[in-house]
Amino acid sequence: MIEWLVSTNHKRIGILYMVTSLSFFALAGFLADVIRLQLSRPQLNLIGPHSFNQAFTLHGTAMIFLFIAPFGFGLANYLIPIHVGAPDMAFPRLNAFSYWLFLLGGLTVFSGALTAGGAASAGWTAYAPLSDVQVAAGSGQDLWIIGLAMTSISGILTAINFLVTPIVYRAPGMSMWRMPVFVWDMIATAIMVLMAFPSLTVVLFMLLLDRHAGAKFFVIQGGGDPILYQHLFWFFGHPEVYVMILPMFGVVTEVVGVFSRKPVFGYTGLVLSAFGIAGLSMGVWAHHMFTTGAVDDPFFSAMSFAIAVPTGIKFFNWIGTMWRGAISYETAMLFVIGFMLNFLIGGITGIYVASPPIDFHAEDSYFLISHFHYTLGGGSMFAIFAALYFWFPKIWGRKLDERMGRAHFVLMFLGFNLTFFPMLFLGFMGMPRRIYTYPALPGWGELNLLSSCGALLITLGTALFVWNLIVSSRKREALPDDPWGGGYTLEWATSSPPPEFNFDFLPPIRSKRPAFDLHYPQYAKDSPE
Amino acid sequence: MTIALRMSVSIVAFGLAVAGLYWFFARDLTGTVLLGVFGLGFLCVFAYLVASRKKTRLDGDEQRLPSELAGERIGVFSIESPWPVLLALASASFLIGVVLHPMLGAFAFVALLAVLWGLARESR
Repeated sequence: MIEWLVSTNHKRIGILYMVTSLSFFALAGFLADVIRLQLSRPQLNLIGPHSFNQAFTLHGTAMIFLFIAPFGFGLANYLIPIHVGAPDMAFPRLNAFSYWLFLLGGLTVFSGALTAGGAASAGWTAYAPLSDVQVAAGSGQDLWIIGLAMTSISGILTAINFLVTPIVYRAPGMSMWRMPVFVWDMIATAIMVLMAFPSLTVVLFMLLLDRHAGAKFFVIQGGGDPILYQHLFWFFGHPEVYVMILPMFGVVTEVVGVFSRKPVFGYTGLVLSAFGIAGLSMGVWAHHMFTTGAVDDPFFSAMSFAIAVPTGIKFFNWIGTMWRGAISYETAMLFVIGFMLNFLIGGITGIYVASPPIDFHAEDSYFLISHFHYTLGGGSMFAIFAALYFWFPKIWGRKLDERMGRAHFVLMFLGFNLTFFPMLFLGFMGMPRRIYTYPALPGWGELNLLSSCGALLITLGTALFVWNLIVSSRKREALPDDPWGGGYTLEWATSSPPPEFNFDFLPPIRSKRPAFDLHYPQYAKDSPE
Repeated sequence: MTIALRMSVSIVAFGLAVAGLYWFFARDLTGTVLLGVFGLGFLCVFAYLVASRKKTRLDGDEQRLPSELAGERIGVFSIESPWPVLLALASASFLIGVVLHPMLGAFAFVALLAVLWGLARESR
């Protein structure tokens, strides 16, 4: 126990990040079930409106700030040094500090539930004036603000490590253009974090000053402007979407290559598109503010359409990798295919709402809920499960059970689509989000019931995954360095799990596929690339 | 190194170009400043990279094999340290204390200084 508390080893910190983020996922999932139970029938009153507001606030906060992005950070913590052939992160103690600050930040957010007024209830965006002290008087909102500020600072410190380590600590032969795409995606992610997260930290402290020091940044009567809050929040908030999805693009790239038994198609395009996404993501924040009437809609609409281009490049490259490959459908690959299908729906609905005339109709409706759950739930969450199935053997030295894994995938895929596809129709029928109950209008009850049944399937799938983790981690088996056969990147050239400083023997790095070259020298190219 | 330089220049150029474009279309100061900061922030990175260019040698750009470089020291990596977790605890207590319980904030501030001192000693 003590050795985990004081450890600065990147693998242990990565595991801590992943376990913590999965625990927050379980909490957020439980809250989602509460929300779906309340909405399963019209005019139900299982929980009151204040509890409902707290539930969706904590659900959104946990999923976005405490699960998806931190899981990516955890995976990157584990993989980046190994991928570039380094013994550890560039700043190990800073790395450990980032993790503990993240954990305490998350606990602080949830600790609001123990206060007299309950947890924060202003939504995960905490728009002013909903989060002003006049509306949200309890200390639950304060704890939410402080907790998020801590996770934000933690993210910035983590990003420094993600940027410095691959640039400075690459092993001999691991030139930048030989690095795995996952590492490139994390570099782009780190740049976005460094640019966007300070905006969140600042806006949270401004909100605290408004609440406790009499500042009037967002109070109209004091000369402030609530729209300023939205600008600063979304200047962080939209890049944050890509902070959550880019690491998962990296996961998909690595998994697709290995299970298609083909080198990744269009390496350069995949790398450049990550930077295209990162750059463009900094200039699309106000598409969340079309309906305020206070932003230049055509500019932000055009920028939002443009971001579909680099994302499309990644998509085509994954399809190009699978094309005529000897695809094997292990669970990790199934989740990647699920990711691609779900994310496609998320992306296409994203193009809808990037168009102001459609967005004016869909704003604050269930269409929007469906859209971002398809990108972040159907996208990032599916990729997270792919990553868990793919790298669990490397991290734990045991393979997860494939039969249970396939059942898990089926439950998740059916459950996810049953939950969120009906919401597209609910949105266009006019059902607003963030309401704790609704009248028995034609079709609303049936579609909501379908949605709640889907949530139940997701819960069953997740429970099966937890059971799989417990059963598989107790198996007795000795895995080879590369249990999948045909792994390309350096983690497949070291033991499972790797030794303290990652490699007992670092193989020669002559190409983008050093592990493959090591295990299959007959296929290694003669000339270095 | 060259790639890092190119990356920084591209980001600076992109940030400033989009800021200019945004100002041209929207005449909105908040957004222009945010985009400008995005570009200018990386100007600092670019300046640092230019300044440190001559004295930087990166192993990753080495084409010799690891076996040929055996014995080279690449850095010191601490295996464990109690200070990161203590620093996080002190920082969290300080932040919560300042807003909700000034007395806790005061105690946490003293603890924070002590932890920073310990961390600095360990780093020497």
